[in-house]
Amino acid sequence: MGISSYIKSILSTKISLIFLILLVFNPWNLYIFSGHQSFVLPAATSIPSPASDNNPLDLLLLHSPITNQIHQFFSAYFNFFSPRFLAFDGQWLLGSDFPPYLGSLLFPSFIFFIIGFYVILSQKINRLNLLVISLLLLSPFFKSALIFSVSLTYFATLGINFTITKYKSIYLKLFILVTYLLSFLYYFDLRLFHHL
Amino acid sequence: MKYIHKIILISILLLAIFLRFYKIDTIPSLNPDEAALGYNDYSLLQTGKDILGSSWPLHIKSFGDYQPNGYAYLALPFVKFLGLNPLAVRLPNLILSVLTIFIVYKLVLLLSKSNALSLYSAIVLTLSPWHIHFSRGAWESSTALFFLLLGIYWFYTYIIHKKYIYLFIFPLPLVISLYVYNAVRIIAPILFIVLFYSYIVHHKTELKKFILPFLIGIILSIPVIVSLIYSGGASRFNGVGLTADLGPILRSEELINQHQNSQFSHIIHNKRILYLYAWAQNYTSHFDPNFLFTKGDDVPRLKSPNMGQLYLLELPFLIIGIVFLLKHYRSNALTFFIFSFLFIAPLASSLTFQTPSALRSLPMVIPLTIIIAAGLHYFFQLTAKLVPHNYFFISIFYIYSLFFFLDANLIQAPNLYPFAWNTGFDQVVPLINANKNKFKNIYLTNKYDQPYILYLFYSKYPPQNIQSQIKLTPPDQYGFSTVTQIDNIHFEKINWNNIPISSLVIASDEIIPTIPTQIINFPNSSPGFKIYIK
Repeated sequence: MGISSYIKSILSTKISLIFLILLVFNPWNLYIFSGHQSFVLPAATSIPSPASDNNPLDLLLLHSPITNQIHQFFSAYFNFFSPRFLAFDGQWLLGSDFPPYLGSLLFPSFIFFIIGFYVILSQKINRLNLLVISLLLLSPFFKSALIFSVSLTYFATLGINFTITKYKSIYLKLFILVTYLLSFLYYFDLRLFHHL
Repeated sequence: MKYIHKIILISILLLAIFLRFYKIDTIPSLNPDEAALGYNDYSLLQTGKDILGSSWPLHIKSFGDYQPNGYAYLALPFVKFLGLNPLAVRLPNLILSVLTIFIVYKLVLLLSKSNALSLYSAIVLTLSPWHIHFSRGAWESSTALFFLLLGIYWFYTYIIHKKYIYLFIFPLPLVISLYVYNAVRIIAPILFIVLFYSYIVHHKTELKKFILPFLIGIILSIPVIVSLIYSGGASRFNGVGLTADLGPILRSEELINQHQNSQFSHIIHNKRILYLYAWAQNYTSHFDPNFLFTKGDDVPRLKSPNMGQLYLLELPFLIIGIVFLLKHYRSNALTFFIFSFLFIAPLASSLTFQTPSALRSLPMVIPLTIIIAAGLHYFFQLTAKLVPHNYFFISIFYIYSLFFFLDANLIQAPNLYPFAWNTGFDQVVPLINANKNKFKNIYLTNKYDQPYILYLFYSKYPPQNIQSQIKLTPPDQYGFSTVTQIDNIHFEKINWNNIPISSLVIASDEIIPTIPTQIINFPNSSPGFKIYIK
């Protein structure tokens, strides 16, 4: 199945509805609509200079500028995939244009994001999923807030879809709905009353 | 086991011994927790009592923090036969850490029936920076991990081979682990209940067989439970527990004030909710890629500089391993064990406010190791035809990573964090003893953690003398106490103006209006201790 036909097939399902709802109530919106189409990669922590600088081989292999740059690059890159940024503290990397005490995903979405990842890893990967994984992993390079936000939301959508498809209990669906309503409420409170 | 597998396994264990034993008596320097374990052993051997005068106690209270005493009892024969020195204190953990690798090999073999996967697990754990770091010291966390794994291995051995002896002995190591390390008191029961439930739910008829082993386990655990409730065993949690962090309360007050103290705000910004939120943040911080691959623990004593808890090289194999296990071993006991262990292991650590903690979450290293091993196994299978020398390339990367870690752990860390390792006390204490009778008072800075216990350890101070004079200070906000005076030696912040005449002063970087008579340098040549005479 090609990407276009796959997208067409899922557009008619509940996935698209969940995806759109999550996208509309996404904490990133405030950030994006306040003029931030891109974000800045945070400065990596500095690397202490090596203790023994008298061994040229040691310096070349273990403490060269290249090894330090690789370390700093991954250190900065991993910040975008840290639970702190994703679930608890968006301001940490995005600054004061993001609501305080709130992750870049609503907390239930963070849990469903993990479940979504589990779904993708445990099944045969199709082209759409591969595309979204690639976009998610590459978006810190593009510095694109929109792509990052959409990819995160897509994974959370897959997680919700998997959960409500596998466990058909009405109480579970109700629980998810109530949890999301409370999260939206909390999000709007932080955004309207506590965000400078 | 095939002959070649035996050879490979023995080679892996020999490598593990070398990596963990090399210079273990000097690197790292002895820290106060290790000194407390060793000196309490010394005291028990000489007087039958610990330094506070308690006979054969379940907890040591050298710093007022009620640490379990199981490790000290394991180290007793080593201190008796090797004397009071860092090697004797560290040897029990070193031996049990190497045996942990063997148990992991046997456990993976038992659950997966794959020789290759079990050997990969053994080699990955052998080279693991996280495991090596906590094998090279008297870390109770690593010792408790051995007993925890042994209990689980015997539990699965009974389940798979139905040998009844294992049904009755598997609770013993699990109970011992409770006597060794606080964090395991949370992890071990939860992990065991989860593994037991997953088995018994499909084998309900076997439930009766477990009644007697359970009773044995509970009876043997009674002293731990009693001491937790009545003897201040829980005081450790009050010091480092989540509720010791006032952050959520302050945040709650801030948010409620922004609502002008409305009723609605008291519900939505309730401090209990914020503590729950803080716990969730603590728990998930153990899965932060920066903690695992680039930064590691924030506490200098618990980390190697510029490194995470795992090698960066292992990240792709961790991902491949998860995919492999979920696709090929999804309903296997191995996968259930790995993922249960992985998610339960950080629970104890997440209940404290110092997270992520490499020490308290050390059990995570086992499931992560097996996942990485599964990733390597799958990777080699997939690429065997495409890349003929795939073993060679991966070996080169691993050797490079190992050298990077050894440099960081054995050379960089002692140079960058000498203060964190109480470096220099082995030189300061002989100097104090040589001058003890020449000066009316000796003042030793308390800038470095718990100097009194290091003085007792390195001077082999007569235990009966300390038992009669020891006075612990009232606990600080984290629940820790210390000792400020032994004979004429004072352990306190150096305030030059308050020090009487005819005193020997051993300071750190305090401002002193005179030139030191001697300087003891740290390994990086910066001054560690400055000696003055007043």
